[in-house]
Amino acid sequence: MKYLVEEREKVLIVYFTEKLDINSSLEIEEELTEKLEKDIKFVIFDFKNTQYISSSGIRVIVATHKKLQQRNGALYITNISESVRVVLKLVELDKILNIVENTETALLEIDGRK
Amino acid sequence: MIELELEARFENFVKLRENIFHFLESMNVQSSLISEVLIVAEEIFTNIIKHSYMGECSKAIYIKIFLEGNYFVLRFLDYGKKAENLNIPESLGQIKGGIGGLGLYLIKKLSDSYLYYNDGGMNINEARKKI
Repeated sequence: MKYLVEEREKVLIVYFTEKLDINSSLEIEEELTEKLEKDIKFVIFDFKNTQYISSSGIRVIVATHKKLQQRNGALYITNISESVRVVLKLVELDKILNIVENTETALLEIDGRK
Repeated sequence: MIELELEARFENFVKLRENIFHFLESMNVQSSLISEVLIVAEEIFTNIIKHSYMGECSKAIYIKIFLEGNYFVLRFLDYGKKAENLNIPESLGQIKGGIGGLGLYLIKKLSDSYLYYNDGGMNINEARKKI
């Protein structure tokens, strides 16, 4: 299992369970596209168990971020490790994404925006 | 030294990743550095599949992994399409179309040197990382 998806009051939470490389990203992208067909405006990507992200994973993040922005929603990134933070910083996604400490904090922020 | 010959399939990156990981782990290289080397390897490997062989998955990619002084060297050889005017983005602003060229940008940022050249129909991608 490369990831787990949970839906809580129209918030989609994706828990990545391993590396976000070319193979897992292709699989996740396919399922996310399907899930985001629904009326979802807020998504949380929880990286608690992920130490690795390549450009394929970054593309999943950017595509999801853009899609949610068009719906006046938002993507939240939580529980990132130092190695994932380094990559997000390199591509300057740390400047545009909502990176928060953990998923509970993200859920609180989203509650305030609903 | 590790030498691998892999078919140009995304799923074969797993084999490459395992080989690099064990090679570097056996030398007690710190995990953050291993992650950076793996990203560079993945970006080169997927670029060859996408842009050199363009999805022809029965074609082979030849990989040599070795130490040269303090540098870990990743050398990839393939016989696909020659990359014309390869433009390695120096900054994010140079990446056209939003996220195109992102892989090359990461290779550039995460390795100490990267070069590409074509020699008589053979493409050579070589990245070096100080360890």
